[in-house]
Amino acid sequence: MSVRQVGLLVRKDLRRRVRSPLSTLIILAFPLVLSGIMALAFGAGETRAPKVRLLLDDQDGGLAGTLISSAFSRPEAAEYFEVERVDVEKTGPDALARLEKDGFSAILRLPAGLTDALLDGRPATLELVRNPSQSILPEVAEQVTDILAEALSSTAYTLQGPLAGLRPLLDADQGPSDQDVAAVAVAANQWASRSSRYLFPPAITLSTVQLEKTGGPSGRVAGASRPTSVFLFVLPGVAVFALFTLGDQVMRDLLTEKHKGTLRRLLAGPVGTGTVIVAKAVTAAVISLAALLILAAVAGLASRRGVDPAGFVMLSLCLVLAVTGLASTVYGLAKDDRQGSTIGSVLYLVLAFSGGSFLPLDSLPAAMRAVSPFSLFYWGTEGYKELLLENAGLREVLPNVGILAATGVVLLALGGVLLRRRVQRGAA
Amino acid sequence: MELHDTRRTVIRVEGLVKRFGEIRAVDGVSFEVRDGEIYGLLGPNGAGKTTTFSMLAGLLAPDSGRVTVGGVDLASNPVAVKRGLGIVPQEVAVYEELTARENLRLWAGLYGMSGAALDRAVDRALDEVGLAGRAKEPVERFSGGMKRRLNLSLGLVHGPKVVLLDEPTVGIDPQARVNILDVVRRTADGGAAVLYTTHYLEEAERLCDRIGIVDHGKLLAEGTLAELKALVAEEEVVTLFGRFEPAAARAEVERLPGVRVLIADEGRVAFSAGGGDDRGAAGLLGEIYNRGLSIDRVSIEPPSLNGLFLKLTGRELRD
Repeated sequence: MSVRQVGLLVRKDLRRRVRSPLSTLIILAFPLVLSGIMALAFGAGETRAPKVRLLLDDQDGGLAGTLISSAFSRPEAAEYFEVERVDVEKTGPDALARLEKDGFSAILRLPAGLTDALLDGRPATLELVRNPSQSILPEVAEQVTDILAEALSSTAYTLQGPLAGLRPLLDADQGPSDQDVAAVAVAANQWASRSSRYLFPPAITLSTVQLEKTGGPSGRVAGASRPTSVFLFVLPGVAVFALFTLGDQVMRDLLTEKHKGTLRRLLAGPVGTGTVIVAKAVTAAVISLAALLILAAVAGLASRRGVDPAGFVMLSLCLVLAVTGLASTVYGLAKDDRQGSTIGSVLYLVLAFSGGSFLPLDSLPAAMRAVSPFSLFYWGTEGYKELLLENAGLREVLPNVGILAATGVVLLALGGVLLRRRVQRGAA
Repeated sequence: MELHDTRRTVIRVEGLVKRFGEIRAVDGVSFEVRDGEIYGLLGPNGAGKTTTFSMLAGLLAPDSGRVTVGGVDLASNPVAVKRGLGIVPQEVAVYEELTARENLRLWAGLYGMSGAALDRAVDRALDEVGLAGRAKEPVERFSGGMKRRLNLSLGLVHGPKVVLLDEPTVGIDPQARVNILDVVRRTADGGAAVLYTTHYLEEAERLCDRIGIVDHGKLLAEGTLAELKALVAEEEVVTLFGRFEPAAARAEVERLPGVRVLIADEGRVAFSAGGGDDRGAAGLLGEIYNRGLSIDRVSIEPPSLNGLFLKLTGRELRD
């Protein structure tokens, strides 16, 4: 095999791509367009749940009302709730009308005497009026209020000491001493830290991270608290699919050359079969790498944060190896470019769907999830997701790198043998 | 003849056989091509020309037989042989997205040329086929004739001493054909041994120094044009077209002296005349009319390759 001839053939193929770039550009644009559409459809920016807008009718006017409204005002809750105080007794039906008119999800009414009931350990009822024109957000409001009521009830039962200490302070004509305030503050602080997980329950967090990985075969759990964009979430899977399609297109060119007679001419000259095949594989690798760099640049711009370069380079190189190997095998088995194209299209779609390139693995049936690791697309997609969304490094994606590299080498060897046979037969 | 005898044999083909299943596409073909000579393989479509070409180009392994080029055995040393060959396939095998110059540079580079020598070779090749003015245009904008000319120059750009051309003028305009034939002639005049397959009689007659007539995979006859014409002596080929039964017409014609029936089918009888009758074809025609054959039209062809092919195979090259 002559390196110079490989170089000449690669340059020739790259020139041909540049002169006739439409199909390559379409494949390259596919992941960007699809990810963009998904982002527009499911939220162009960060994937936060819409805020629950709540009208708070505090008829109590005491400590309980202050606690509840301040609970909604804490930074963690303010991310998900927008609370506006109203007085239903004064405004009457107007408050109810605002539910629909201004898009509030519910009115939470704190009855008069709630604080006393809390301090005395007596039962009390919170009233929640749901907006009938909404379905999910009032449900969220109801669940959160339910948890809040439960937390307050638990507080009433478990913190009777500090609460009892509060009563004289609240009832006293003169202000409390610093010592009293400190004692209650310490007790309340301890209570708050113990009950914070009830006040900011995981249900809220979970609902905002539905699209994130909650644990796959690699066993690592996605960082649920970090906001991620739909665009970045969708891009890796579709990009991996596009790369395989691109590799397929380049390797298909080998059989197209057979069809056009240029392959026959090459082989009638001093160019060996191996040289022709290696040149196509190198072309596929160069084009795939260029495409990866473009997609990575777009992803970098979209995420405004860097990706571990070692992890990215290694994963990309091994993915390109796998792309070239798979395409070589497909076209080594195919009788002609048409048959190869058909086989390739079906195979890549199956591998993409089973590998979670188009749909989150969590949404796939259990049987399909079980076969996901057998798809090369899975290892590519998950690797890029980890690098892009989890800030993972080379170490975390090493299993992906290893599997893609090993499979790529095996497929490339197999594809090389099959293509050699195919090309030699086709040349005559 | 004397001139040819002094030349060195470059391509030697001995007993070449290629079977595809039950079909013997090439059946024991042997011939030689000398330096500075254009050897034409003439035969109809399906005669085995392209299969022979493919075996000589190293694209197809023969079932038996041997090919040597410049004394080097093709089967045992294909790379060395291929490096010295210039190949012009029947199909236009060019990269249409590239320019003519880029195509030529690629092929010259693949044959090991580089630097100034490559530049000169490419310029010369472009001039030779009249494409210098369009060298920077993508080939996809070229006419069919221009593509054919480029197809030819790709096989010649590296200055090979052995050139194999497989029907290089199929489907092109007369002007482009003339250009291609001129380039091939000049290539041979420059000392190259040229094997030229064609099914065009006039091309073989005009271009080739020696001609091998092939049909059904066999080499039926070979020699210079004069030698081949001598095989048909002074015989003319007379073809009668009319309304008659083939068997009856054949019987009537065969009664004439010195006549050999070549074809007798529905509405057509062809025979060679002149071999043993001083009257020639014209004299025979009067007698045929007297025998009551209903003849609409008569064609008389002077001694030619077509006549020879008809005589050898019982069918015309044009069939």
